[in-house]
Amino acid sequence: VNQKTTIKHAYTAAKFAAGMSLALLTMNLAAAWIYDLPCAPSSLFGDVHQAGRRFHQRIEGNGSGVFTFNCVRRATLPVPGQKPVVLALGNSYVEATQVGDDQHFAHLLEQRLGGSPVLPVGVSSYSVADYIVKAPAFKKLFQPDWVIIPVRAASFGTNAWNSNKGGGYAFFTRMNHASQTTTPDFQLNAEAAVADGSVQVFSVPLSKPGWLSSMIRTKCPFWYPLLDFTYLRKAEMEAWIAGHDRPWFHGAVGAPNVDQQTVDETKGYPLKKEMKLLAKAYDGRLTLLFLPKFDPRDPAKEMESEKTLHRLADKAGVRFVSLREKFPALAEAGHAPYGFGNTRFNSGHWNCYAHEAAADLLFEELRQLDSLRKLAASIADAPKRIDLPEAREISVLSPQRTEGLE
Amino acid sequence: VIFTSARYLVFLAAILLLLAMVPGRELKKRLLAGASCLFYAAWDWRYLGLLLAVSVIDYFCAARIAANRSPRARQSWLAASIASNLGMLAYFKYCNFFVENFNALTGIFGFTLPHANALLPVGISFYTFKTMSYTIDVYRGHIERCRSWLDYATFITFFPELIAGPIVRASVFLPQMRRQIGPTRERMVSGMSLFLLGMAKKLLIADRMAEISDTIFASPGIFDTATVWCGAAAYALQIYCDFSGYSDMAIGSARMIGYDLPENFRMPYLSKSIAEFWRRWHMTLSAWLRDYLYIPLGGNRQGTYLTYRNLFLTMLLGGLWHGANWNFVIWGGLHGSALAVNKTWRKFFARRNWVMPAALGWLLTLLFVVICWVPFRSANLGDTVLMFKAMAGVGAGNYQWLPTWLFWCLGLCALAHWLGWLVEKYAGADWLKRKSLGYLGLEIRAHQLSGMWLVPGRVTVAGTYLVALVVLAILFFAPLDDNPFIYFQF
Repeated sequence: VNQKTTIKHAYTAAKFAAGMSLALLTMNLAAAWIYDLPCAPSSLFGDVHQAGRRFHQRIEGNGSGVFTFNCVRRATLPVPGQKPVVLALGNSYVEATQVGDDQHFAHLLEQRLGGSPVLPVGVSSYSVADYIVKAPAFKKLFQPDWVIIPVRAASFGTNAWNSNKGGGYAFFTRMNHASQTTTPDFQLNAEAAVADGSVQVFSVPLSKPGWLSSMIRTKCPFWYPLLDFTYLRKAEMEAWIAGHDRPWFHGAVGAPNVDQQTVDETKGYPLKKEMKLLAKAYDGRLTLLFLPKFDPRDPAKEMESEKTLHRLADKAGVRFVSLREKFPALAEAGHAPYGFGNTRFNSGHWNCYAHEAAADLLFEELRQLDSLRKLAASIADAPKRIDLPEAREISVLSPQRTEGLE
Repeated sequence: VIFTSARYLVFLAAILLLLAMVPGRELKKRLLAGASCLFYAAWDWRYLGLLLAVSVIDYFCAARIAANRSPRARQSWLAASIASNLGMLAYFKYCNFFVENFNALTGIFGFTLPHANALLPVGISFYTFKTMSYTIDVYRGHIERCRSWLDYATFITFFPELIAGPIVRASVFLPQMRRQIGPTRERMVSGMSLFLLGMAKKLLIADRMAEISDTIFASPGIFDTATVWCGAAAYALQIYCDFSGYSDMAIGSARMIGYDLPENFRMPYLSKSIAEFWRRWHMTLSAWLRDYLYIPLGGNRQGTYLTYRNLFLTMLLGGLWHGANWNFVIWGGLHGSALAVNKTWRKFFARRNWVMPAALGWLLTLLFVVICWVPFRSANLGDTVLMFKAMAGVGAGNYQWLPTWLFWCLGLCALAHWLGWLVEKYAGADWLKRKSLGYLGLEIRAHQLSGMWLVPGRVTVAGTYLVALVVLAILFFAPLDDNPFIYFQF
């Protein structure tokens, strides 16, 4: 009787385990369909997209594409020596995993330019501090004739002064005794630190990935999407718990504000110094593309932070364009520049309409620069796209552009 | 207090554990009453006194009604009970509504009244209806008065249905207090399955739909016609999954504790007429309004026009019960009118032997219900007008936003309704019980109060797979915000 009972229990346990395994397998397939962004550590960029592997994600928007070794969002690298090279540097707005390769503003801009290469290099959470501290490496690696950086107000303010982003990122700090002692206890990269008066930039070296992370990345490629999704959810939950100070009960549903908050995220920060450091880092060969918040009822409305940054950019000799110029046309067409069908309206990253508008705006900007003879070579003289090599010739895995750097 | 929060799950688990450990029926009831008070006090301990005061007043009034033989004295005690309940409801819920409207009328003469500085006690609409039904039933002689205040207080404060129903009557709940309570294996399995179903409805559908409807209803003037319709459809889905999900969790929680609560929803969006809709939607409220308002008003016994008047008035007051806002009055008025039209329609066509095709009836009912949710959800009359205009294509904005989650959730709900319809229709069929559900290890569990639902009967690969998939889907796809249930605000 005991043996029969044991067999029965074992059989039940086996059925239970089989059901659970099947459910996990289904979820893994669902996760892989929704979100597959394989990462790999890079000494320069931090924990970024794995080179050569097509990523896709359907959490925000519906994007798919490929990154190269150098974190460039495109399938093939241009032939070395093509001029002028435009480097589109930025954070998740340039990384733009929400849109497809062919919807990315860099791709659209390159099409409009007719052949001059545009290299989109985006790392999520990068700020002005990162652009400054890594400028020598970027200049050496990509040899750009002109640099375009899409920025939001937070790129100069809250995000640039956040010291808790971890390895691979840089941040500003004030050079006084108090801030020195409150600096986190990681090893500061003194070589990369840039000082200008009372403002200093610190770069935090990338920490070596833990054994679990390494094992998951190398030994569990099949389960990677589900594990990655779990990690994403864990981080999301931790952030939610940390910021969850609401009472146990709250009765009324708060309506979201589609007009977005108009808090000035630059207030209280030494923007003038930041702008000067940025201009110096790229020798003034720089255009800032400002991404303002969008007010659906008054799309032409200029934000305070935009006015301030525009004024400071003019003073520092940095060119400044704002996507707001294109907002009335977008509004006319019934599109908000931010948000997707699977997220909220007018919230989050920029969508394909904004990418297209940005490409138009930057094309006008580059034509102006060309007419001002600010570019090393004229756009009109650039070889046509037909001269671009096949993917096989210079693949995403080609290391030639990183030679000497690492 | 939010059933989907980790705190509630811990609270419920602790209560179940204590109930399993504590010996004796009386001690368990005391434990339950204490836990319910703690549950309510977690929102605002000051209003716990109000809740207990209600239970004391009505317990006393019912005792006096039962003790008196004189009709006049009995009427007086009933009137005292009703007046205390309605007076409290009027002060906490409708006072500021009255003041606002009074001030709007008299403001031009420079005479205004000050607003009452009172917070709306959570669940007040539900527990006043519950306690009023008790005194009325005692007065009518339908039930005997409760002889233990502790039992009565447990009934009034019973935490699973305290905040937002289902509206349980004393005749249903009090007899259950005579039996042994506490978790049993059968109750745990069936309760947990209902709880999980409700949780999935709330977290996977309602909260997703809230993101869409909140956005569109917050700025109705800027979106185009298609987007505004998407907003209305999203809200229709949200309120159903939110409220029926809450009800499932409440019934599931109560079931695990040892009590059976009446079912509150029976796939209302499958209704083929508005009358059928109200037999499937918020069933405990509909039944309450019928028994304690519509029938006392005269019901359908006083001729055609008075029947229509009674229907209209009942629904109008039903609308106002939801909240002190003209939008709820409009919503109630629309439903009351539709019920009257439906009655006329049926009479008219019955004489001509014509029956509306089921598909057309379903489509018209669904369309009407979705349109009626617009005033229910809109913040004010101005927004309601803007929404209606935009839905009609007049003066709509030009922003387009087609939320993809809406279409996924619509598909999921359509599939679930179709399966539910199959189970409902073929519940007695052998092929459904033995083959289709048998493979999944599911059994149909029918209860005269709680209705019909599916329960895992034994461990099978398919059944485990389904349950695990729902749990994993909740873990991975549920939005993290603690979205309170819509009916908590009523």
